[in-house]
Amino acid sequence: MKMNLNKKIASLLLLGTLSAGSWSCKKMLDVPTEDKLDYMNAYKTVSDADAAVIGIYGQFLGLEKLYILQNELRGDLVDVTSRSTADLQELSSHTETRNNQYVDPRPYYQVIVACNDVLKNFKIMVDNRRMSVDDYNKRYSDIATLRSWIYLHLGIQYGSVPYLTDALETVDDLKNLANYPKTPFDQLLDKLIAFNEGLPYKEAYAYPAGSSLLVTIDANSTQKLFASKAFLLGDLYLWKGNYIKAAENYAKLMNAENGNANDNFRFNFYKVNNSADVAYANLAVLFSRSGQDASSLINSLDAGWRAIFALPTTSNPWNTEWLWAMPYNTAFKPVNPMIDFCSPLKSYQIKPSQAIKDLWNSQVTTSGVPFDPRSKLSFNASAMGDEITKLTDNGGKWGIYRSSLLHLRFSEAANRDGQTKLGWALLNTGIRSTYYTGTITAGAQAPVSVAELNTMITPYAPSSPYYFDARKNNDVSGTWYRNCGIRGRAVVNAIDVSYQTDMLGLEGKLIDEAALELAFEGNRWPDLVRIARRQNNPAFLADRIYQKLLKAGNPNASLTRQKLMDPANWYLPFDWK
Amino acid sequence: MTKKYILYITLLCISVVVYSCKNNLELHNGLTNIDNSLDLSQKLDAQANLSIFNGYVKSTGYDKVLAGAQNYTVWAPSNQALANLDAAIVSDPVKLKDFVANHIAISTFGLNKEGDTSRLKLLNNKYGTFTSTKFEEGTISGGGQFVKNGVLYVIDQAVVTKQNIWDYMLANTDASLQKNYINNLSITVIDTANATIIGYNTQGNPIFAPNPPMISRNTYWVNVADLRDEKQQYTYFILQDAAFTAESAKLAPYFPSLNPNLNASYFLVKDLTVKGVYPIEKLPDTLISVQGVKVPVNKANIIRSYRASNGMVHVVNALPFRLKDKVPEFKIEGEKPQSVTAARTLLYRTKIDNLGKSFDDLEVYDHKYAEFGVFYTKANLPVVKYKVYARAISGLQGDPQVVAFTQRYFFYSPSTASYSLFYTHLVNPLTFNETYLGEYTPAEFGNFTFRLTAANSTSVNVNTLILDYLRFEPVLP
Repeated sequence: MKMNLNKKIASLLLLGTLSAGSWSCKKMLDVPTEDKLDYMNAYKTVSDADAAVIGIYGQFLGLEKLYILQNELRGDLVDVTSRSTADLQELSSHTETRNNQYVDPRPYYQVIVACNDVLKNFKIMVDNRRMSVDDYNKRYSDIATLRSWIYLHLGIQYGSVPYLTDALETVDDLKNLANYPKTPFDQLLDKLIAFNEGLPYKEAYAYPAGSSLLVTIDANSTQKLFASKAFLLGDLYLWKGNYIKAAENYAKLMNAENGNANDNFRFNFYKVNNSADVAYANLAVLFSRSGQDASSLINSLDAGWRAIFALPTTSNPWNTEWLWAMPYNTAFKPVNPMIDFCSPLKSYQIKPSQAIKDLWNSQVTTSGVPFDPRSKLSFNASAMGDEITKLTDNGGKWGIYRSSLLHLRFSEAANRDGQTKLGWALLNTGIRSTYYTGTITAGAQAPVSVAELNTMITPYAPSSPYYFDARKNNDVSGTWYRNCGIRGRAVVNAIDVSYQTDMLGLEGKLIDEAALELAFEGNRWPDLVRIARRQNNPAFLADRIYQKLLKAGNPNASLTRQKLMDPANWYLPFDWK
Repeated sequence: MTKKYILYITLLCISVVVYSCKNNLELHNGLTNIDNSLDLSQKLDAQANLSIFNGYVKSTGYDKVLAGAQNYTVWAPSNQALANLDAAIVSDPVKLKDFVANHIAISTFGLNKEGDTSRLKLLNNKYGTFTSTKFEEGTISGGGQFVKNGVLYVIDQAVVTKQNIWDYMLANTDASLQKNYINNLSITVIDTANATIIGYNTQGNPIFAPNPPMISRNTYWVNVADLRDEKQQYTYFILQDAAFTAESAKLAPYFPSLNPNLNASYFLVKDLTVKGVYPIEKLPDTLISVQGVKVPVNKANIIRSYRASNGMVHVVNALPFRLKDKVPEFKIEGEKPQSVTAARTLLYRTKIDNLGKSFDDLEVYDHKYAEFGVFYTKANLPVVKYKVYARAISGLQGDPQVVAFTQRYFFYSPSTASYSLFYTHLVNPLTFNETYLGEYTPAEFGNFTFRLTAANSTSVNVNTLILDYLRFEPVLP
């Protein structure tokens, strides 16, 4: 009996040891951490709110890869390489399946859920007098705008999506999202417009000078880190088809620095010009010897057109161009994912398509060089393969909104609103040279009367979003006098003047220009969908994708074209697993 | 009773822990017919129909190599295949070792199911062609027999070591003139591998001890093709003496050089090597030589062909090159200047002509330098009368030069060591056609130099230079 008892004890001990192995982990999770902030202790002061804002943007930055791949690889300007994963090849050839990791919408909703949570807590803070109403309005409007921006992108990619604006109580609620009703894209636009118009703070910049959120950290300014409200509203109206409202919102940004007492800000910020002022501009395509000598093209990270992507966020020229961009820093995480994706020396998953290279090579510069210099400034051709450099120059940034895009979107809205000539002007040679009709002396504009001078102002009332004062003589310098047009800044020939009266023709040209100017930056697929949708012309989209696949030698090019002729196939499957 | 349950449960727990890992350990991938108990040496021992080859392997010491840890691929000729092997190989230990090495490659190569051809380096530094069915001329019977350090194939023919093209040419007795000519094309250089280095100069280049060992280098290897290189594959033509003499004589008036590296015979033999292997049945009627000249091929003229280790040799009794291929028309491109008379901004332009075709040219504009000159050279200009044309286009989009201007071409004469005016070119805007400059016959064989010279003026739009190209069209009989 004694013996048996010992055996029994031994057996129990053995059993106990074995079972400890399987259960011991469980309790580790219940220990309160000391290096993490519990939500009970967050949201005490404005500093906490600021930390939440920065935290959201940090999380948002993680969406860049998905955003760029969905918008560019599905479009016609970016192609896969021989090393691309099967998922990316599917995305590029529009054969993606539900298991494709780039189809999964969950990363977007993780940020949306975080936004909702922050918004809820901001409300609690202001209700409990922990934050002033003024501070609350700005922070709330900022995060709300960011959330709306994500929803717009979700709508473009997935068509109908669940529009979730309340904070979730438990994680399970997110799992149940599959059962949540989906809002069709058109209704989503209505909801987003109504919501964003109702935001309490809608100024051109997310935070005014002096705000605790405007700082310089690690040599990066936070000035342009935050979502641009007017730009998003412009986009929403443009998608909706309310062109005058779109133009108004875009014009708000184009004229955002018009009241600045410093002329360097007034004349350069968001004006798209070819000023050679290295302190405040100098972002045009430049040549060191002559525009005739393409080998003297300035391909520099510090000057000329390529500097748009490479200059630090603290530099004035960079700020004249950008409205919303988030920089990466090689010293910190997250590392820019596009470095790995674009470099032939790394995993090399994407490259410029033959279609965009052909489009660039069909342009002629004003000095007769038979290619668009922006091609060499957007990607680097080498024996290893073509490397997209736009997204990775000087460590790279996730640039979402910049002036060229602003001008193209404004032109699109103006064109649809009947102001085709104005769209032509901003696309090609700028306001002044398009509208001026006075005396020309020795090839230069030399107005001899006030009436002639005034032809440099667009013929609209000053209250109109289409009013631009581009007057220039020895006495007067209108705010817009330096504007030289997007093609003018890139020194490529203007398109034919007949497009000044050809609305549909100009619309196509604006989208072509978006390819030349904004290739790889994540605008292509939305551009194609928006125009094809507006013109009720699926071929606008399908033909372009067809050309990309055809030029890449894809045997299924015409099948894909057929598939994309049905707008239902433009959207990714919204599959909540 | 309880005790027993506890024990059972305990045992169950333990077995679960122990067995759960097992599946992963069993996972492996690899060849299914691999025999890991044998090495290649033992595998050869075990096969009776390879006993003769195995005997050679043992007598040359390769059995120890094939028993080693390195992986090899062996293509073993069967006993029947070796029955008629040249006795000279068997009796000479050096030749036999080379023969055995010619059947072995480092690393394991499976049969290529896609039918691609691979060239594999063999142990005697030759390269063997391996396809899905054959190794060189031997047909593979059965599949590969995989063992722990490689794979063994049985082939139905002995693969005798082939000479490379160079060695074949030297040993060949069909044509002595060409062989002797090429063999004597040599320069003597310092044997840097064996010379004593006593220091380095300021550029970092070595300084050798006085009277360094010298070594002879054949210039054909450098200037045309290294026919000894086993890695490359060439097709090489040997002209019999009569043909060699005739073809050299044909070129003699155009290449009157005393330098054997630049005389008519050189300009003949430089186009006797073609990249790639062209056995007689695959010969097209025209090939392009490594120097880019058309080689006319008539199979009826081939009197002997040899499959060399690095290509193909055809001995021909005639290879009538066309004169216009040997003394071709050529252009001197404006955008490739040799030098200039003063430091000025040269514009290397890319423009589009009236037909929408893009072209590169050179413009020097507003340089404020009277008689500014740009020099161009062309090496080894054949002596023949040329018609010379120029193309210079001004006034295209972006070009500030929109009025007519003149520029001059001065050709260099080596005998007088001076430049003389050849043509004064009035360049009218948007002239897309070539301008005929005149006839030119070089006084002697050698390098040709000319100077593109601006007007004697410092004025803008007057002293401009623009040149797309000069085209030299030989007047041949």
